[in-house]
Amino acid sequence: MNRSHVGDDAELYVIGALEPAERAEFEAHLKGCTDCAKRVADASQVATALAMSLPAYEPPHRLGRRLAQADGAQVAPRRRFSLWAVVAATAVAFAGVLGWQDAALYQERARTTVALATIVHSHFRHVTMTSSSVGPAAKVLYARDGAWVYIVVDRPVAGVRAVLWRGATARDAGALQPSGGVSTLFVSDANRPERIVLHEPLGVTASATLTY
Amino acid sequence: MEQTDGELVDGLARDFAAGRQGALAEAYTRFGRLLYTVARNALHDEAAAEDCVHDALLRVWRTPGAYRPERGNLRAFLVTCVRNEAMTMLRSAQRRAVREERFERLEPDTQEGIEVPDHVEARRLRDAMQRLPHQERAALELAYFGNRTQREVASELGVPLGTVKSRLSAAIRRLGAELRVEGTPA
Ligand SMILES: [Zn+2]
Repeated sequence: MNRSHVGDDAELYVIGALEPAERAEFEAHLKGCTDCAKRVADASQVATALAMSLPAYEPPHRLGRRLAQADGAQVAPRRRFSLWAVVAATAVAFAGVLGWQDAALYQERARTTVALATIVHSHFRHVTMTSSSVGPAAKVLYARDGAWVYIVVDRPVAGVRAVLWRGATARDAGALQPSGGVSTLFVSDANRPERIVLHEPLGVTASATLTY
Repeated sequence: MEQTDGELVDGLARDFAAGRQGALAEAYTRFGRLLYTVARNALHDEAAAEDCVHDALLRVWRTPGAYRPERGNLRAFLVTCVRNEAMTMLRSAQRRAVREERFERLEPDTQEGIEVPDHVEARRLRDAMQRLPHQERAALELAYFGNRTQREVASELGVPLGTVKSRLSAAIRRLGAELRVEGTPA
């Protein structure tokens, strides 16, 4: 029993001013009415502004843990990705230096060499990236002081870019390059990023928070 | 090349709509503080606010088609879901209190909000609210900051329900027009 149209309910709905029965009726109507969906979309921007004007509270850590747990329980656990697989894959690419022929390959080898040399000569940390779709497994190796990061995805990918976040500032560090069975990106001037997000043209594929 | 947070969030919106793994945790990482703030300000209770955000997020993430992009951006959609969930919980807590003949209002929150936000958006909204016609502002303040439904607003202000409906609706549309003109990002 869809009322044909719903007057001012869209605006009342977004601020939670409808009584429960009215709300259920409006939500049912909303599914089939693009006019009301548009009004709700507009009005919910105001609801967001109202929310942002409230005194802010820090959520308890437990809430994040509960939701992460619910999120992870949805599908089979994702593949494990060991640090040693990263090192081995990189070493294979490195060993291939003997056989290279063309300029692109040379460049790629040079990149890998710089990355490996940097890694070998410094203390570093590593973190597994959390995949936000059913994306490939990925890992970030990074300098303890945040000077460089080395991102490795466990399959050849095209068009995946890494964005380095620090505070509210994002920097596009470029696209990952396929190399053998993996894809990598070495950022030599990372400037202590707090968060790395990998995304492809269609959306975020993985992210990681870096701690120092 | 600078990347706006909005572009990254679009990908998240698609993942969330599809109920993909990782999208729930990511949405919480990005919007959790705002969503918890919405719940906490309505419910004035840490545990209730936690359950409110948990239940609302989980339900929409698990329900195929619950979120559709034409409903607006994901953050605004989730803010609306959490607000409605909080109002439902508040109503049932109050009904329980009445049934148990506890007429006093719910316990006041013992913890103060950590900050009264003073960022650009909050200031802009407060300014826009000041410019609302008095009666519309009164109805909106009672409904939103006082956590009242339209019927409660009508009885407290002593005006017909239809009048409250049109005042609230007009207030929100007016605020929306003002905020859009001033260039608030969607
Ligand atoms: Zn409609």
